[in-house]
Amino acid sequence: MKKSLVVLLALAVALGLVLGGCQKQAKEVKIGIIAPISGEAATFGESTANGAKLYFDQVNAAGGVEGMKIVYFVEDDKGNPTEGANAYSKLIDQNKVSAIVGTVMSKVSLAGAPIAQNKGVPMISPTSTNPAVTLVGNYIFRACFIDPFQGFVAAKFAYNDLGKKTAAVIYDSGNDYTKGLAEVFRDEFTKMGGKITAFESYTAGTSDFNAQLVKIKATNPDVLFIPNYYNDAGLIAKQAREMGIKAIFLGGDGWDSPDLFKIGGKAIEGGFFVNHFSKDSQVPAAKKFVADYKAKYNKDPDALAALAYEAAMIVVDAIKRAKSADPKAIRDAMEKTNLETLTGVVKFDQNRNPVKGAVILECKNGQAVYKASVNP
Amino acid sequence: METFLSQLIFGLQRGTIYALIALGYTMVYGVVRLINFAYGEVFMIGAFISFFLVNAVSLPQPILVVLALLVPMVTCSLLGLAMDALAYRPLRQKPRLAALITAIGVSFFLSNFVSYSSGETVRSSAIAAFLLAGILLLYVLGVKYLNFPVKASPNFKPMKFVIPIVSLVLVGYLFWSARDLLVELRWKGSSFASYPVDRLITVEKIPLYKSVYITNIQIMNFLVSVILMVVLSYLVNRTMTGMAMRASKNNKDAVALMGVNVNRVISITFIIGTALAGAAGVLSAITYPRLTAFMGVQPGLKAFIAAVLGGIGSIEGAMLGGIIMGVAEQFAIGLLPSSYGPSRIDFTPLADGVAYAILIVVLLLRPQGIFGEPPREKL
Repeated sequence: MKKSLVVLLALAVALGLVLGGCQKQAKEVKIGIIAPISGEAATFGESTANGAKLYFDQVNAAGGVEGMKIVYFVEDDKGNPTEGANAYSKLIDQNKVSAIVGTVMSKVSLAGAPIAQNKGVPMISPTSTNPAVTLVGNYIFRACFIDPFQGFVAAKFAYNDLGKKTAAVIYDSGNDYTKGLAEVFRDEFTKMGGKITAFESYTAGTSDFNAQLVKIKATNPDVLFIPNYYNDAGLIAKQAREMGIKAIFLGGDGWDSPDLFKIGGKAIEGGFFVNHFSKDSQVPAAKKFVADYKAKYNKDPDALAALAYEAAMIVVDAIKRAKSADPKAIRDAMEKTNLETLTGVVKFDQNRNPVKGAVILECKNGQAVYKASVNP
Repeated sequence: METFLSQLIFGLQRGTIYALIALGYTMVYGVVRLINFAYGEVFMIGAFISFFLVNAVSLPQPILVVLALLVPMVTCSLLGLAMDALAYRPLRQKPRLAALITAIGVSFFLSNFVSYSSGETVRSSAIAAFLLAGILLLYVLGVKYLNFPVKASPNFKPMKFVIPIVSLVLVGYLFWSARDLLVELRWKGSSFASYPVDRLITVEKIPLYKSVYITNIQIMNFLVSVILMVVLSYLVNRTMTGMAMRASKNNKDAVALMGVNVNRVISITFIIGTALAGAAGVLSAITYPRLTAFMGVQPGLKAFIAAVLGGIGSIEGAMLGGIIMGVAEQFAIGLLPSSYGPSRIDFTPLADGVAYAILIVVLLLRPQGIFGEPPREKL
């Protein structure tokens, strides 16, 4: 009698646990966020995590999505492909996330994408601009334009808007992002009728760019294209100005960080870079985002924060339309995205790249200010 | 011509820093026959310490620049002392390979320690730096007053461990609880990616020939290195300690029999070597104002090659080797064709290989290096 009571009790408890578990699962949807919160691009990681968290918190405050509360997990990839791959595996295997927002750097996304693809969990990189990233498979999306477009915009701006006919390029030969951008710029600029006077590379980790810059100086270019992250770009600009290179500096979205001005100082003033978003945008949704972000984090959002916010919007929108936390259903819904975001309506092309325009920002008095818009 | 001269000056700038680290390698190797692979990391830590100092203290430029150089040198030499006592001394009588592998371990430990603690913010690494400084201080005090574990047996007393460990935990707790106070005030907004050079020295260019120029930072680097090298030569060739060092180089056992404390001589060697690496770290941070936890890896390796090139164990050799390495590398990047050409092949990454190519050639043609003594047959 007593024994059966114990068994009954145990069964009841077990059933309760299972049911409770089910119920809990039905009420929440788990989403992973991956960003380089430490390492060479730390400000990128911080902005990205902040942007995504802001949107998820707003959705939760408004009652969640389809009756489900969003639970998010943030992982640091340190800007390192190995760490990045570990972060993807951890989020998928341990935390059982339904979708991933991440990650920032193309080389790290390229390491994580095959994992997400194999395990069948959709990921959307807010800012990886290298075309190869989404070509990994149909579970991989992005929220930003791709490098060929960015390189084209930079070349067009240099040739048409600035009216410059000669340009030199310095890039990191070991980084898919900067190399890709450098090559596109070279080809597009030459096609438009400009002349590339020098095309110099360096290996990652060096802080001494003088040897390359002396070579560049000898060719006396009008424009120096530096498609690197803010860290290297600031240092290169400084060393270039110090040795008397007078060219106008031009960069890609990797420049978008307040640290660019800390590192580059006076040298970076008057430089231009291609970007996804300007905090001076007049679109109502963007204005609200800038205000909300500032209220929560007490600083202006950069493009990374905006793109992470957009990526989060795209994921939540897909969950809403899928009415489920099932990764496959979310992926299928994501493919059919047609959503008004901060920078316009986002639709995906057949390679899951959004079709959207770019802005050019100018470095002025320690700030990146809006200069021009370029549409595809 | 202009390009050539500019490259030469920048090459010398590179070489000076290699030379300073190479001196550390060569001195320790000369005396202990140990290649201390952790010098690159001491170099890095020197740069970090001066970063904190310069951000924390407001003083006129000339005073601060001297302090920014001296404080890391002293701290690094304490680190060198601790490194020797903790990692290498217990292995002194063991096969040399054991000490070599330990050296690689120390190197990895230091760089990853800094990498981990400098990861998120300047703030967390300030805490780590204070902890590390606390540990070092306690260790040195322990060695001095408690005869703390240089060799555990035969009269091993547990109390000797307990007191330092307890005080360590206490000091750690103190720093931990005071962390907001320590950090928040000063270092808000500073970034490891930009060493505050402006607080030390205002960059000025002195024109040499047409557009070729030399900066006051480069001159300072040359001067500091030359002064340190001269002091070092004097120390090694003209003082009793130096004599003991040179004697230990030849035969440690005989020196010990003459009543010289060989361990003390070795400790002094470590102190000098690490102080030089620390100075090199500071000079490097001023010249290339960016700090990372792994900034010492490449210069460390190249300085090692420089030491081999000059003849490991020889001070003049290390100086010359470092300069040769720096200039060779600079010209390699300057002369190798970049990918903008008909071939579209990028040769610049090969420049890093030049250092290793030089190493191979030297080892084949003159294994003892430029100034090295050929190995003598012992009968």
